[in-house]
Amino acid sequence: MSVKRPFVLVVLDSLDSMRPPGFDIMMLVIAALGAVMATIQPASQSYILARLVLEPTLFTVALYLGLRGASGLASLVRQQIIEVYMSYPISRLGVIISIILSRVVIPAVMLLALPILISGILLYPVVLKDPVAYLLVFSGYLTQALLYGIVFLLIAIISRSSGTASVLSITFYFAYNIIWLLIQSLSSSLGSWAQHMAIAMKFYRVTYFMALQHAGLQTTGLTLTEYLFVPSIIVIATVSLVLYFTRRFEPT
Amino acid sequence: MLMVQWLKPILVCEDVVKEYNGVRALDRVAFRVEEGEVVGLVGPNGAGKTTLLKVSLGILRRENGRVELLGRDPLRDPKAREKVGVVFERPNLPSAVPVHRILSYAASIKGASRDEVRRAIKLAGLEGHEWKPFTSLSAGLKQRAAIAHALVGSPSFIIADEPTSNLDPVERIRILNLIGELNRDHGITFLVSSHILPEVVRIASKIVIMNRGKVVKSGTPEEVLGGLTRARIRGSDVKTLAEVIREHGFDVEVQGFSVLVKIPGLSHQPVLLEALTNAGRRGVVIYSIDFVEASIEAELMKGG
Repeated sequence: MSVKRPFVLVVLDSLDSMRPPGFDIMMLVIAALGAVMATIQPASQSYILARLVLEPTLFTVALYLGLRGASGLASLVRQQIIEVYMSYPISRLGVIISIILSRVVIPAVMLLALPILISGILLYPVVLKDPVAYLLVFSGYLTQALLYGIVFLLIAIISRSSGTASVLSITFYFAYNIIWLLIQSLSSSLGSWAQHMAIAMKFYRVTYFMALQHAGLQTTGLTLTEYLFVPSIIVIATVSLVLYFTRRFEPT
Repeated sequence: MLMVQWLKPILVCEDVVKEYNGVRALDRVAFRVEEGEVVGLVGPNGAGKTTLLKVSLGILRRENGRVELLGRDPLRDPKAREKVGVVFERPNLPSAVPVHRILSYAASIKGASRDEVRRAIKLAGLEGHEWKPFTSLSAGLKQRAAIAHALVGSPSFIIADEPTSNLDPVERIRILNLIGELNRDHGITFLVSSHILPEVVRIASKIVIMNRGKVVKSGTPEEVLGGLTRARIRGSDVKTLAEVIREHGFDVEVQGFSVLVKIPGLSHQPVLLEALTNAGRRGVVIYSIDFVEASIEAELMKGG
């Protein structure tokens, strides 16, 4: 499969999915949020700074991916633009990978990297102390955002309705976080598996511990479940999305 | 010496079956499009025209049968669509992106140069509007943008699904003329679907009539339209009357103090009535309308 054609489709679809107003305003808000968080709560360690900046940003990114990315895909199907993409000499696999990149991966990277960049510039002496830990925490939040985004896309392509996709996406986000909150709050009575799950369900907590280990502060290791839980869901959701699009999806 | 020239098949469909939830949308459909032809795919709403076009492109899967688009199966080999342009029924392109940029990216995907974008814009008559976002264009310009999009990449074959739907009569005629020009002057083969037979007759070298998922009849316009409904209309100014009706896409013949209009089916009578209303606006008084014969509806009924 030629890589150039799907890549061009990524650019074309990105222009549509990240069209103003919306994405540009979101970028401004998130950049300002990063600057404010870095200024009002100056951190002494790079991993703490990354967490301070990205914690509120993740919620905004998840909302964006649900309301704009996923519902945008449903609109793409409803308005039959997906058929235009499918009429290009690109395989179905190429089309869906392009859409995943343009509707989830690129917006998530841009929205999460911007505040990290802003806070990194504002507090560069802190970041330069341990840039690896800084990037580790960033990768954790990015992975968590990808989890939400891919599941939202799966919901959108099956539901084919912008409204339903938005509502179900936001419902999934809150359901996931409520389950996490329950496990987290009951972890002392539920046992060690709950403690592990409370970390595993939020991948940025895994990478935060990794950052602590990198800084020589954390001695206890992480379990395989903690490393693999979120990435496994991403892989399963991505494979399901790709299989659904390549084998079952009919743009009627 | 007898010279036999074999036409190159552009699209071959054999025994194509497509089902939606157990309902047959295409029932063993077979037809061919040869190089240089303009094939009109005609049928009422729900006949399976759009489904057939999408199956031909490999956008929809088929349950059975064979489809060969430019020598390849479009379902398995996306390269089959390399030299194929498509105009969908609803001319939708990414809404917020300027048309020129959409065409440039489409050209890049199809391996065409930027010069071809300029050529496509010129051919489609979109000059002066190419930098506007697609969403801001009028219905006619959107259709032209969709045609320009189909023309990018120097296609040898264009599939157009109801390219004149939602357009006013003047714009319809312009689009039909454009298709005719592209076929005649640039050698592009067309497969055009429509539920308005007189429109297709204007440009098609072959007509395929579909109903309820089956090909009911196919052949040259003369072969297919052998015994259509005809209406004999008497009016105060036969010349103007014939002119107005002709403008609405009908074939008209002036016979003494009346005009004889070919009507492909009952569904076209509203269009004829619209034409007569417009004739009235131009001062023509209609004295009588007599329907002469009907056989295309019978042809469609045979398919069901």
